[in-house]
Amino acid sequence: MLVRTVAAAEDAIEWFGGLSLFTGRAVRELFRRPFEFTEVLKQVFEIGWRSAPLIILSGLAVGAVLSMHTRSTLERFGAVSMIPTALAFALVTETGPLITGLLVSGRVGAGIGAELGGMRVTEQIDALDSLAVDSFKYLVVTRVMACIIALPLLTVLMNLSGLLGGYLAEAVVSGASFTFYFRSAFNGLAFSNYIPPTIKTVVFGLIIGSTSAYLGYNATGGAEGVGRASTQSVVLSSIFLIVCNVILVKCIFFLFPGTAL
Amino acid sequence: MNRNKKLIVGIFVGGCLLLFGVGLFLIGDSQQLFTKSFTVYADFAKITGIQDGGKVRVAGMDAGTVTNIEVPSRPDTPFRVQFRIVEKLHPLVRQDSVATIQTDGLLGNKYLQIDAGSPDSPLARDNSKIASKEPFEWSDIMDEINGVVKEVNGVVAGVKDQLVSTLSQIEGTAQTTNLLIHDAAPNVKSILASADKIGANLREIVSGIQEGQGTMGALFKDKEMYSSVKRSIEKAEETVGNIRDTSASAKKIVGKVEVSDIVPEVERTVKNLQQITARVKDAVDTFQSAAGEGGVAENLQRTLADAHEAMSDLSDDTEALKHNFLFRGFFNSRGFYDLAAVTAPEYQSPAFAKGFKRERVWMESANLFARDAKGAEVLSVEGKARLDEAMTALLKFPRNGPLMVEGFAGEGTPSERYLLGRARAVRVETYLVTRFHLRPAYVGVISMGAELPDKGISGGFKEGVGIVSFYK
Amino acid sequence: MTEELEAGRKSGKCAIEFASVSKAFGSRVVLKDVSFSVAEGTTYVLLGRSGAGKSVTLKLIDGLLKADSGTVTVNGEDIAALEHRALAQSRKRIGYLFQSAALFDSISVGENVAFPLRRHTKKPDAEIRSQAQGLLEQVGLGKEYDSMPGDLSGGMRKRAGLARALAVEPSLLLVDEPSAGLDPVTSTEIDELLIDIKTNRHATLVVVTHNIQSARRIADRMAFIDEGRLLAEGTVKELEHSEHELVQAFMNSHMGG
Ligand SMILES: Nc1ncnc2c1ncn2[C@@H]1O[C@H](COP(=O)(O)OP(=O)(O)O)[C@@H](O)[C@H]1O
Ligand SMILES: [Mg+2]
Repeated sequence: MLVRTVAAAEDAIEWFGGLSLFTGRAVRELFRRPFEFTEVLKQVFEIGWRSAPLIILSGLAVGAVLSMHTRSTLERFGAVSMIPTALAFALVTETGPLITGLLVSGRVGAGIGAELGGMRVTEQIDALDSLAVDSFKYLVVTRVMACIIALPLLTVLMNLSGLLGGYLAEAVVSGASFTFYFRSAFNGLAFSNYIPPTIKTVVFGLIIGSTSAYLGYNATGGAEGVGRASTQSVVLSSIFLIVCNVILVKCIFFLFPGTAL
Repeated sequence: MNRNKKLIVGIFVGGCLLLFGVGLFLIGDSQQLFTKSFTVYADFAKITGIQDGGKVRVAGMDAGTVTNIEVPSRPDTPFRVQFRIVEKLHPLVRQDSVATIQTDGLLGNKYLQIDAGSPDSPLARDNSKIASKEPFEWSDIMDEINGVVKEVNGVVAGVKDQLVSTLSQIEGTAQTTNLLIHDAAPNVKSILASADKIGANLREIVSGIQEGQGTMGALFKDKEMYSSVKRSIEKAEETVGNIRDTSASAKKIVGKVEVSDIVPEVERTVKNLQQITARVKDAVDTFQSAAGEGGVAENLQRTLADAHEAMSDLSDDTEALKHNFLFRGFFNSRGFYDLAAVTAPEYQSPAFAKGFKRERVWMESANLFARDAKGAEVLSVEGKARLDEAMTALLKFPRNGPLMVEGFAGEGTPSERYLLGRARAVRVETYLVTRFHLRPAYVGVISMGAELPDKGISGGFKEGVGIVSFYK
Repeated sequence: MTEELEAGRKSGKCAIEFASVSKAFGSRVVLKDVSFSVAEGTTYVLLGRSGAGKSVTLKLIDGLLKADSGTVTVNGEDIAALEHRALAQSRKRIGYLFQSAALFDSISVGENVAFPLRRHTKKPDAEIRSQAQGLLEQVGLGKEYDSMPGDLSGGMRKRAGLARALAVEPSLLLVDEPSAGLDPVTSTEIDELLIDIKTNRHATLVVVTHNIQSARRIADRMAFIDEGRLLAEGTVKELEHSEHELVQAFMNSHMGG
């Protein structure tokens, strides 16, 4: 029993070490020629553009719901005029980036895990290498890059559509004016509440991209293995993302003490 | 990867970056980053949590942000707070403008308030220093309250003297202007009743606060604050105890907590008081100099009517104050707002004085009242003795709840019964309040005449009064 | 022909040389101490039951897998010792038809064939397209340029894979079961094509096949791998007279594919 536990722990640590090396390599290769521009564009299209509808719809819904909750809470204190500010603060500093990260890890993580896994078990990755194309650069680095580019952009979309959802929910109740709502939403924010949380999603992108690419790129065991890589991509990248977020938030508080409430 | 896709990616990336930029712009704009501005600074020994990027307001208008806080290197040098103000508001910021650190709402963020300077003073120069006032301390307020209370005391005493002398003037000339007095009497009476009620309300509020009741009271109960406030309270207690009208002190307390809508109410109250003083003075002067002349009667009538109106405004205001949330906790725990407003069904409902125990004494009207020359009921000497005896028994219970005098009458139509019951209760109440120095707001009358069942209550009891003491 | 070959071998012009190569995946040993060499410009056929390690041998030659011990020398260079760029450089002249064809299923059949051309040459688009079209016609898929790989049958995919392998103008062609899933006629055509590549382009071929008739047609030398060992190695004749029963049974069977 003990022996087996120790072995399992060793496996996990080894796996994690593999992931770390893989991620390190991906990051290093990000800055090395040749840059597969066309492939990166293609992946930004797949990962960024194609996620946009999901992000916008979720943003609208999340914003509306948050707004309703905020209203019912603030109403008690007669602070209804704080709703846009409170919603913007909640969305921009935490909810927006985190939900975007989780949604993308669901949609894109599974996609990358399955796609690369499929290519691995059908020897397409070997074929790339045999054609003198660096499969790591061509498949992994491009996807990691695209995730890194797409996440902050999608977070911006999430934040704004969240505010829009909040506005719509508010407009139904109180008929607030659009410009006034958005002005007062951003009125309570400082640059340090806005820029670091948005930029931190670059790390989310790296986590999602490299975790799911690692699982897909090293998939074994046929169709079943591909399925496993796909689900594990979602589960593991979500977990890593949530854990990493704690560290990132701590770092942001450390670097910008003003952002802590 | 066709051109179409490249175009879409371009639009996607560009669009999102643009939206991000719009956010940046809105934030920058709210911090007045993009408008022409000038910089000034002020020194503070304490900065009570104001931060870099904190808001700056000039005369209440958003005007810029704190750009830098220089931390002192020695304990005896102050913090230097540097801040930007938009050029547009420069005309308001003079060399004698004063910077203070304020709180946005009850729980809000700290911000820097810059008072508009005086018109004669030159404009504050860029990168110059302006004066500052340290954030307030509770003990400071209490000192202020002390002063204000004494002032108000003087004013109120003045008003009272004036009223009394007015009345004695009126009485003095009663022989010659009989008709006039007859007309004026109800007005004067109701003015006095209003003034009395105001006094009672305010006294209650202040003593409630002193006992730590209600939100306002809880603020005072806060341990940290308590120690700094306690001394001041003790000093204030004496003064507060004997005043009739402390609206000004309530104004001060409330004003410091910045519940903006109460402030003007109370302010108006104080103005009314001052007006009354002036009017009554005028009236008295006029009356004295031109006694007996035709215009006087009209003049006095109008003056009294105005005074009455002002007084009832005042009493409405203090009434509103009671329902203000800062004091609400106190009235909730007391179990009632105003005994005078309680109706018989309310009184009989279980919600009344919920959570209080009650002790009751019945008294037959035959034992209490005698008839005077006109046949109206008055308290007899024997009745007074009986009331003294009954109260002695009741006063053994804690005096922390209302005392209700119930009036009963069993003869005639319901309205006759109601009126007689009420008259009986009022007579007993008036006697008790003066005889035992009871707090008027805690003593209520209620006529049970109309509600009385045909067979009477409690062993056929139909005529008389019940005295009920509520206590915890 | 045999003498010429012998001469070639003796002169040391070996395209491929395996020296005591062993390969295992975890605890599963796939190749044990395998040694053989392939002369330049000849066709070498690998035989053996499925799971014997033939595909692994091809991947070792292409450097897709690394040997646990022993050396794999390709064109005089130890493939395991090559650094990344040099390996890529040497692969530019190696064509590889995978057992599963391994077409990229996100792009069309024609673009699969054009892929190495687009990556490694600066030719204009039209020229690349016509070249890819030509290659597809060679394998009988002239009409399938715009089809997606998923819409083709297994045999067609195999042929498209071969076209892609040929696109690099290989000096070394690795072919994994070319005739699996093909009808006898097409199978023979493919054999002709392979022979043509060897003779006219002077390419070296390593072919894995189960089709013994096809093997006889194209092979200069052949090897029989079983349970990770090189059971027999030599010309067709030599293998026919091998002392191993399994090899004999294999050589004399008439099954195709
Ligand atoms: N990447 C791999 N990981 C683990 N085992 C493998 C791998 N590739 C091949 N094998 C195993 O090696 C053995 C030889 O496989 P292979 O060379 O494909 O056989 P064949 O001779 O039929 O081509 C098989 O048992 C296979 O399961
Ligand atoms: Mg095989």
